[in-house]
Amino acid sequence: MRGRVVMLKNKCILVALMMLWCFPSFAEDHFDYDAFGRLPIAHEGRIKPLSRYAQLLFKQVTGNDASDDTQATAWLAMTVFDPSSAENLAQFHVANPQVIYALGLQEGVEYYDFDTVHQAFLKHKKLIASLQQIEKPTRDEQDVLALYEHASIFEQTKDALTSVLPLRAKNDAKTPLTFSDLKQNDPLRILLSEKGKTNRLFRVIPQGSEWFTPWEKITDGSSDDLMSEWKKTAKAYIEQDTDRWSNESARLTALTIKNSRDDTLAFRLDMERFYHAIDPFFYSFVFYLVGLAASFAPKRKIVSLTAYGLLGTGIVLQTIGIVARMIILQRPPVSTLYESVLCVGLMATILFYMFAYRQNRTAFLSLSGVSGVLFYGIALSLQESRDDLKVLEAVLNTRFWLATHVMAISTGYALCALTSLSAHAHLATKSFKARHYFATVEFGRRLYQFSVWALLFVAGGTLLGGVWADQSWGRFWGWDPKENGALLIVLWLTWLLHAKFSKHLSLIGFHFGLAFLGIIVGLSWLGVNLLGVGLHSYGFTSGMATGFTAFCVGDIVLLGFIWMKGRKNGAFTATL
Amino acid sequence: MAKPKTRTTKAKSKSWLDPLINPVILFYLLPYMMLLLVAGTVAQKHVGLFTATKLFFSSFILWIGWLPLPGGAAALAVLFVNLTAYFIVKSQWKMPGLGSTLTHLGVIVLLLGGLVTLVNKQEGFIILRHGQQAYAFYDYDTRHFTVEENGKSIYQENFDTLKQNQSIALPGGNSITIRDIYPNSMITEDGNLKQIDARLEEETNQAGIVFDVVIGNKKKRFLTTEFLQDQPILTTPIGRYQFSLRRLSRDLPFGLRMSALRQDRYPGTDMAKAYETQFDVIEKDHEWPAHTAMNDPLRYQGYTFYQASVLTLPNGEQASVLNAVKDIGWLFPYAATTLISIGLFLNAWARRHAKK
Repeated sequence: MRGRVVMLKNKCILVALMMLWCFPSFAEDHFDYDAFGRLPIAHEGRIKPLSRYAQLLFKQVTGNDASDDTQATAWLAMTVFDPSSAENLAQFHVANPQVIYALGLQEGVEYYDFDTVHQAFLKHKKLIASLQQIEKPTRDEQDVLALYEHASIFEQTKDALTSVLPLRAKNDAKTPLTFSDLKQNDPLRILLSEKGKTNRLFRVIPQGSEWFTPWEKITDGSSDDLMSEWKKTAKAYIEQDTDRWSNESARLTALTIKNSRDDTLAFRLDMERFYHAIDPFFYSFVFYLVGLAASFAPKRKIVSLTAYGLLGTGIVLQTIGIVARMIILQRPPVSTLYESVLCVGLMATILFYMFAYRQNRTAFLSLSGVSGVLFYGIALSLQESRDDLKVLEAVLNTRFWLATHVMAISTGYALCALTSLSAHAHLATKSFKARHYFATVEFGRRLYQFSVWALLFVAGGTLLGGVWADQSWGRFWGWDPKENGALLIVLWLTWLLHAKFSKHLSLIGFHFGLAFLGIIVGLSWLGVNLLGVGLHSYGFTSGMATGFTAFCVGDIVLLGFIWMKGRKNGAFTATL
Repeated sequence: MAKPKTRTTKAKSKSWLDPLINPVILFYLLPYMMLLLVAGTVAQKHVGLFTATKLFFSSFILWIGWLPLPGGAAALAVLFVNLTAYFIVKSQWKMPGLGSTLTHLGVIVLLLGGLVTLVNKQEGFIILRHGQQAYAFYDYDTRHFTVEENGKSIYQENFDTLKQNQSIALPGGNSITIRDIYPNSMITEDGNLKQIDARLEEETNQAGIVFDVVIGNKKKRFLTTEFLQDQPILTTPIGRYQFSLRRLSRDLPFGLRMSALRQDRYPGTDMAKAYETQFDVIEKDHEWPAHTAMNDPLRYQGYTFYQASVLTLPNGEQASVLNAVKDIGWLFPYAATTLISIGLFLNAWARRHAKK
């Protein structure tokens, strides 16, 4: 009984609290959000600009990407400085009718406000608790849990600054109170403190190497010049004073960066904003696509130069993107599957481009374009909806091994891609008896050179990986799936080269084997991550099995077609 | 007049090793190894890394139902013989064949190192709390059932070879009968031992046994698991008997005492950025400070200590988990890596050079 009374009392205080925050509603404003968007925040282990945090949160809550940095930052500013208005915005996107039914939400509505969603979860506490116990939830159950998580994150964010916001009473509008003005035994203070204890998301106050939330600073009682700066910025926002807002938010950002004692932080924050603003990988894809089309156009010098220009621009853009990621993360750009695909794709595209330039063969330009488009497609399928700029697990946190083993094996993968794509082109042109450079004996010999270099880098990279494993896990080789995958490529290439020398395999068979290398690399590089076992847990992925299977089946069908066509046309006289 | 020996005739001279270097061996061996590799890797998802490695890669015979096939160890042995014979008969120490020779030598060294490691490697773990000393490390997989009489070991058997209803004769006409064996188990609230599904990662399972002991005219049933703090003891007029199921421990010729544990985290998360353990190495006449961190092991007297992870104990205290390895073959892969890399580079360079 006593418990119920306390609950009722808490509810009444909450309602009162809502009524106390009666700030002007969010409307079209004229604030300058540039400085505020540049403010650093510690999120998922990394210091990032607030505008990026705002974009990620906006997407989680609304299910849509913000149109730009400014929209997301403005939305976040309203959420933290004017929480009562933010709560009333219909912004939670619920598309799954099963979720609507399970939570008893009103049907026929696409977006719900926080209060509606929050009340629904309060009513269905048992349901959430039971769903959280399920090891492998269904898609519908996952959607319910995702909505719950998003609502919790939103709640943490909107309450992040309640410790510094004025609690203005309706009947006493001229003398707003703040949390620190409340007496120790004030029920409102107690309730806010209870909520604040669990507020651990909005880490904007640096101290040493750690970053704290405003609530943590209030709770531990330490004074901080940043807290007073937050109060001033909040006041400027609430009073809709655009000039003061600009000054205060700029001062707040500058002071936060200064207090972080990180000399390169400002540069990294600017680089991250630049990286997201230009979206280099998407535009490089566009240039690759158009460049690829141009490379197939009639052979005129102007068209050829255009193809060079377009593909070169794509390469420059992708390089800018990768360098930007290196600056932001302060490490080589090959630590996740997504990053390694981008990096390997760039290497393969550059290699083809260099061959085109050195040999003066536009045919290589087409392969450069194919490589760029293909790898962007693979990278896109691996990109997460969350932040793809991730911090590293402790064992990976070594620049030396990332720069040696991972770069060597990535170069090996790029050379394998070069070899496989070239072998496809060679066999395809040959099967149609086309009078093309790719169908020549000279190009066939080049394939052999490619395969030798590919073996050098894949074998070298694999062995270096073994040495790294010896340094960190105490054994050179442990038959881990990722290790086995790398060994599979080495064995495949070794087999092809030895079989060619011993003449157990004809030249055509050797070239088909090299074309098949793409599938072997796919199995080794991406396929083993689908198993979800072994020590390389940072590479696990799911949901790409269908795409990967389609790629393998498609390539086998293509090679089968080339084989049949070549046999029919009498292009492949020798047997395999 | 005898014809002078030409280069061609020399190359065609017969050697008793010729059958061993027949290229057809490698032509069929490598695809078989690839099949084994794919099958073993896929099997890891279903039976776990440890079991799949044992079945497919470390075995000489792989049983597919009733069909015996060469296991990974047998395939590697054939490769070793093939390569060594080739190296003896065909090695060239001048360009352009030098690269190929060095590469083959590197693979031979690598396989030899693998054999040395397989035969002598000891691997285990040490869990150290602040101030705690350790003079031994524990095996990840091997568990021993041990009987001690008045503190002296009188019987020891590998857990994997224990059988249900197995009778073990102890000195003085005493005996033990194994009743139940569980690869993974837990003790229930009412004090019984319950079997639970074994996890794929062997080292995370808690092995347990139930056994009857007859000492003199005293008969009693016991149960124990490998993680049980107080292993069963039977005190009789004849003596004090302790029955323990523990991971195999191996003594170190020196001691380690943890002095500090550093664990850096990424801001605002529980995710570790770096671990480092500082400890004193205790020897007979002196102590000296040392440390180990992620990717920075400590090597001393043939032992290597790696920072594996950090464990939070039930009382909230943090303990450092070190991986301890004794492997006299640890340098082989380093030598092999150097040889293979140089060899492959020379090979690729020679091909390019030859074309020019």
